[in-house]
Amino acid sequence: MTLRLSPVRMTVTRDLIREYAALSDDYNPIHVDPEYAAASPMGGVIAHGTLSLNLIWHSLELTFGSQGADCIITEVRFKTPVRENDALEAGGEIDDSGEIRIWVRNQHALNVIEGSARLKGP
Amino acid sequence: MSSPALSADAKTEMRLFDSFSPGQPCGRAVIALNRTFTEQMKNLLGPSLTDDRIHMAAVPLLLMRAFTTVVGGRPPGNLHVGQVCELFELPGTEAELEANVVCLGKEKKRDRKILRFEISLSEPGSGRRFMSGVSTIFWAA
Repeated sequence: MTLRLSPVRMTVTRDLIREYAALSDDYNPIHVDPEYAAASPMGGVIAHGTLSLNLIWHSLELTFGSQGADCIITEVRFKTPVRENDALEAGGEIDDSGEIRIWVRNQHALNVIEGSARLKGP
Repeated sequence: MSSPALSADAKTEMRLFDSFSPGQPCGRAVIALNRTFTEQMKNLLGPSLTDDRIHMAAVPLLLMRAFTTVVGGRPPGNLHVGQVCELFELPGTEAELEANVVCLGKEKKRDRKILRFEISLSEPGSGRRFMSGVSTIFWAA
């Protein structure tokens, strides 16, 4: 039987990316300078990868609770850039072996992040 | 926007790929969390299940904050391509965190310059671990 993580959704706006830049102190122009980003290989502003990754951790908290979720590890790859106005959903599936496959998907059903998570013993 | 108080030995010179050596510490800093920062995280990331500890959703954010605080002079155009996050214990909302960053590895693949960094956050003095992570970054210069 496969169990699912509680989904977490977010629409990524320019304001949100700028707020995240301030909180993370990461003002890489690929995130905050539309002209620079447009001229870069990315072809426009992209969100910070960890902004989307935070959604997975929120999903883990909602699923396992903040106490039970201590001692957890996630390993992910950032597969596809997240653009302004992308609508994201983070989630995951837990199989019988306890392996947790995690992802963040955009409105085109593309995985922008994928990887795995596991809970560790105390 | 108010940020956590910092007492950092942050660098401001441009850090080039060639300046990193695997196994070499990149530096340390102390990050003092405060209620303003915590509330901003909640506003951005959604409601938390706890009021007395940091929002679990903020684990990747805190690791990145640790990295940017310690490793200044990052070139524009860096791309973050992979991340490991490991949580041991959520810190309190007004905790002091000691951030340490070590260069774990570097390699070139075609025209890509790839660096891996280990980031850890612990309690100053006691060394009690809160979280750690490994960031893989395409370095732009």
